[in-house]
Parts: sequence; structure tokens; C-alpha cells
Amino acid sequence: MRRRWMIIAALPLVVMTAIAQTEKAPTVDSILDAYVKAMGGKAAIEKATTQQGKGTFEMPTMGMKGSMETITKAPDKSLMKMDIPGFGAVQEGFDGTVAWSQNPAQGMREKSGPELAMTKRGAQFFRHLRLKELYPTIELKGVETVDGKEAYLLIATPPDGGPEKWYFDKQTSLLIRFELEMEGPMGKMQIVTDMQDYRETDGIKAPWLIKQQAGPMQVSIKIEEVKHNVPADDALFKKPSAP
Amino acid sequence: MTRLLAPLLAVALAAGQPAPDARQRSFDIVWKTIKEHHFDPTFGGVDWDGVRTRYAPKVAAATTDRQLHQLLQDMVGELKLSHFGIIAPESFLEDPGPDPSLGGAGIEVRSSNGEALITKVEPGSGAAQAGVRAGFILRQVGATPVSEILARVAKTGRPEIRQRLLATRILQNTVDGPPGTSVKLIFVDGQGTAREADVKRSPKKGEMSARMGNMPPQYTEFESKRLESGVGYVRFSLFVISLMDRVRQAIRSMSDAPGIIFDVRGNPGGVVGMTGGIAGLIETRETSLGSMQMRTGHINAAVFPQPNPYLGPVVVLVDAASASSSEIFAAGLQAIGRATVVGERSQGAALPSVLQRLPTGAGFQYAIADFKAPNNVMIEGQGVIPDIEVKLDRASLLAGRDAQLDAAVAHIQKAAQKNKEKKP
Repeated sequence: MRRRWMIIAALPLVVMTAIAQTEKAPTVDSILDAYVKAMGGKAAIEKATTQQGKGTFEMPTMGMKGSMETITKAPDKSLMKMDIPGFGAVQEGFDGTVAWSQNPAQGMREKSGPELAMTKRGAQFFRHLRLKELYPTIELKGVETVDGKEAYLLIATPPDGGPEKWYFDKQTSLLIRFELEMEGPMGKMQIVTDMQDYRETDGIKAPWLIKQQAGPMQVSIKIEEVKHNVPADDALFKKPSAP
Repeated sequence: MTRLLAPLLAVALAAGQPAPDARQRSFDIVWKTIKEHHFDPTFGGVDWDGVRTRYAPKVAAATTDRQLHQLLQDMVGELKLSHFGIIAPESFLEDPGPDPSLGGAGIEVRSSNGEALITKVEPGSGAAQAGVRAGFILRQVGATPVSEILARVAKTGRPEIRQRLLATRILQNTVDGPPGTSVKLIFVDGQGTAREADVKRSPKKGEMSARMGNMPPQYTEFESKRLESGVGYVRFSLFVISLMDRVRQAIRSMSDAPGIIFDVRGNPGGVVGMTGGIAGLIETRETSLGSMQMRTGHINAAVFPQPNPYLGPVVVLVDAASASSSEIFAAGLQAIGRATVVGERSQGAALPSVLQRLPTGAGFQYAIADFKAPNNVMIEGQGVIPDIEVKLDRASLLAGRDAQLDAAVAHIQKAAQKNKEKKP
């Protein structure tokens, strides 16, 4: 009994110390480590070799809605398909070497330069575990408020791209917003992406609601299904021939 | 997953009688959207806060949606730019069914020099059977004198080139109508004699495009052929994705042609992305047809070369009714040296825009960017200046010729000859 009371008495102290330590000196490492843990932890993340997501998207200002599907495969392959009524199928892929994009208006194209580098970084299946490697410069800039939540702001700069702003929720340790400037043959634009409604599948968390804003344009994506370790042949990610 | 949304960026329904609250919210959305997102933060010198102050009481006093929509139209009109407008809720019917206007008398009419010039007569159409020919001047449609339509348009106070476009559209809409019906046309023939004919309307040859988001289905025509000279000719009445495959196939089938003419006369625009898509079929360089400058950042009308592009001479035919994406297409190809532009100065209405639904059910079209051709030339308010300026003249039309098309063919033949001489 005495021991039990001692434990109970000690608890607030432990909790307070933990909070004090976290608040006192958060570091880039501690924030990124907490993020990996919040996402499900290294072991759970490494158990998956593919991830498939299915859902819908909406561009409210343009009245567009449609279905979408993504599939990513370790170590660095990705494919995204969207079906936009009245426009047709839009596809983007990366097979580990070639990044490509295809839509009914502009046809097929291969990405190059900073756009290729960005696609490559994004396609890294275990990117959550390799952030410090992919972004050699990461600085903690302080705490900011995102949609009423306090969040640590990190500025991460890859070797071949511009700085990105990452906002990690202080409470959940999850990434709730990132901002970056996209530059390529399509133009130059500041993009803000909010990630909400994190849910767990096979021990791994993923945002099921993603909102993106670029100037006056908005896209909202609702994920309806996430699966891991679905079979995905490498050929799936190869650039198709142009029409 | 989150990184894969970018391509969408390169790229609400209400019925019945909305409450006054919906009118107020519609007003707020329109004013705020322009306040926050207009590409020009100075609003072209217009005091946008002052605009709100002036319009808010009028909106509060509006008792019908129609009144509100007219007020909103007037409000966005204060910017004096193209691609800002309010579109009536009736245009957004979910399933419009067969469009009653999908019939016509078989003529194309243009407002030109203060008259309504018939520029084309469809062979075998009601108009052709009634003896109507290109080059005739239309004087009256049904009970409506053309002069009355032109006078009404003149009262709008729009710039002359915008008046011509508006008059052309009203005239064409008045002539067209449901198949099976008839319309009385009074016109002046080639001898200067006034004649009258009862013209039966028949189904148009084109089709309705698919709805794309808030962009409702629209009537489209596509035509591709080899001219007598062997030159390829491609005409499409609108930049809509449903025509892209046919444009692609037409260009591919013309690989041995001495040149290709893209006829975008009368084409009011459409999907901007398609301009670069077509250019990618005739260009070997990754380039751009121009830049759309937003308040922050810009979007390019990017051109990505496709396999086996057509490399022969290209002409783009434009006229005063060529607008928006047609102008981006013509100006861009002209600026990168890939096409010669022939015809008349275009409309000068080239602001990329989006169409948003309002709580009242109306559509709110607003420009999201300014457009500059690759040579930094602004198209809005200026139009595309043809390299070879040729006006549609009545005498040629009466002789069964299209002077602008003839000039395009002559240019291609000359260019093809030059290319032949260059080769050893």
C-alpha cells in the first residue's frame, strides 16, 4: 500500500517533469522523433512495403469533384490517379528514376530539375524515418498557432530545393501543416497543405482529410480507405506511352 | 499522398427561391473574393472598399435574386476587365437535356462595319436552300431589325471590339433556334437587292460538351480536312477537353501536309491547359505560351513536346470574336515563333478565370490572373495583332472565297517553298 501511494504521489512530478522537459528544450530531433512515434513508430512503419489510399477530391471554387487513388511502394515508387468528370484521367507517377505526369489536355511529360527532385523526395516510402537525411538543414523556429492549435515550426531545406515550413502539433506531435513553394515548368506558386483527421491503419497513422490552398484555388481530399502491403508490380509505376 | 495534389492546381447548388440571407452571402463572397484574390492588389485604381460601401445598401434593399445578380454584375463591372461576371442560375441545370438551340438556319453571321455580314452558309441547310449566300447582309431576323440589335448593343458603352462580339452573339442566337422551326430573314443580296426568305432550321452538326465542374455543357463544332492545296485545316469552336482527342488525331493525320491552319475565328476560349496541349503536338521545345500572373506566384501555359510533333509551317486564323484561350493560343505560338497569325485583331479578353457557384445558385466568374505572352505582351484590352492582317471582305465572300483563309494558305505555300529550297 505504501509503495502504491508513493507511485501515485510521484506521478504528478513525473508528468510535470516530462512536460517541463518537453517545453523547456524541444529540439529538431525530439520533434521528429515524437512525430515518428505518433505516426505509429519505426517498427510499424517498416512493416509496410506498400500503401494504397482511395478517396474523393473536391475543388469547391470550381465545382469539381471526383475520385482518386494513390499507391506508393518501398523504397521510392508512387502513382496517383484522379478521375475528373468532364476532364478525364489525370495520372502522376515515379518509378524510382523517371517522374512523369499525364493529363488529357497537355498529354504526357517527364519531370526534371527541382520538380523531379521534389517528386523523388515525396515518393520515399520511409520518408518519415529519413527526414534528416532528405533535408540536411532543419531548424526549429519556435511555436506558432495553426487553426487554434499550438505547433512547432520547423524550416527544412533539401539539398536541391527551397525551404519548406513544417508545423507539428504540440499535443499530438503530428504534422498538421506544411508550406512550400513549387516551381517548375507549370509556374511558381506557394502551396499550403493542411492535414487533419489522422486515423490508424495497421498501426500506422495517415491524414484522412487533406486541404490544399494555392492562391485562390482550393483542393480538399477525403480518404475513404487505406490498405498496406497490397501487391503492386513495379510496372505499375512506369511511364505509359503518350497518346 | 499529400505531394500528389499539385497537378490539380496547374488545373453548390441551389434552387428555388433563396432567402435574403443567401443574397447577402452571395454579395459577401463576390466582394471578398475579389478583395483577397484579385491579381492586381490596386484593383486597377478602383476603390474596392468604397465599392462595398456603395453597393451594400442596394443589396440589402434587393427583393429578388434577379435584382441582386444585376447589382453584382454592375459591381464586378466596375473593374472594367473581361472574365468578371455573374451567370444566371438557369445556366446550371444539372441535366439540361437536349439544348433547344441545337438547331440553326445554317448561317454564320458577324457584326462587321456596323452591319450583320453573313460569313458562311452551310451547304444543304435551310438558308442554302432559300438562296442565302455568304457575303449577303442580314437586315432583319423574324420581327427584329438588325439595326435595333446593333443600337441596343451600342448603348452598353463597351469598347467597339466588345460591342462587335456581343452583337455577333446576339445576332447568331436570334437566327438559331429549335430544329424544325422557321425564321424569317430579310437580307440584301450580292446585287444590292433586299430579299426575304422563310428559312427552316435544322439540327446543328456539332455537339454539346461534357459538364466540367461549374463549366456547363456548351455547343461545340469540330472540323478537320485537307484543303485543295493539301494544307491541313483544323477548326474548333471552343477549347473543351472533349475535342482534344480529335484535334490530336487530326494533327497526327496531317504529318505529310505542307502546313496546318488552326482556325479559331469566333472561338471564345475555354480550357487554357488545352492551348499548351495542342502546341505540344507541333513543337519540339519545352516552353510556354505565356504566363498567368496571380497576386502571388504565376502559372504558365506550359507546352510539353509530344512524340512525333508536326514540324511544318503553322498559321492561326483569328478575328474579333477570337477570345481568351484562343488568344493565348495565337499570341503564344506567335511569340515563340511557331506560328504566323493571320486575320483580324482579336477580342483582347484573355484573363484566365474560374467559375464559382454562389448561394443563390448563380455563377460567379472571376479572373484569377493577368496574362502575358512570352514576349511580355499583354493581351487583355489589346488583342492579338496578326502578322498578316486580312479583313473579311464582302466581295470575296460573294465570290465564294474566304480572304483570310486564302491568305493563310498563300503564306503556308510560300513558307513550304522556302523550306524546300533550304534543303539540299
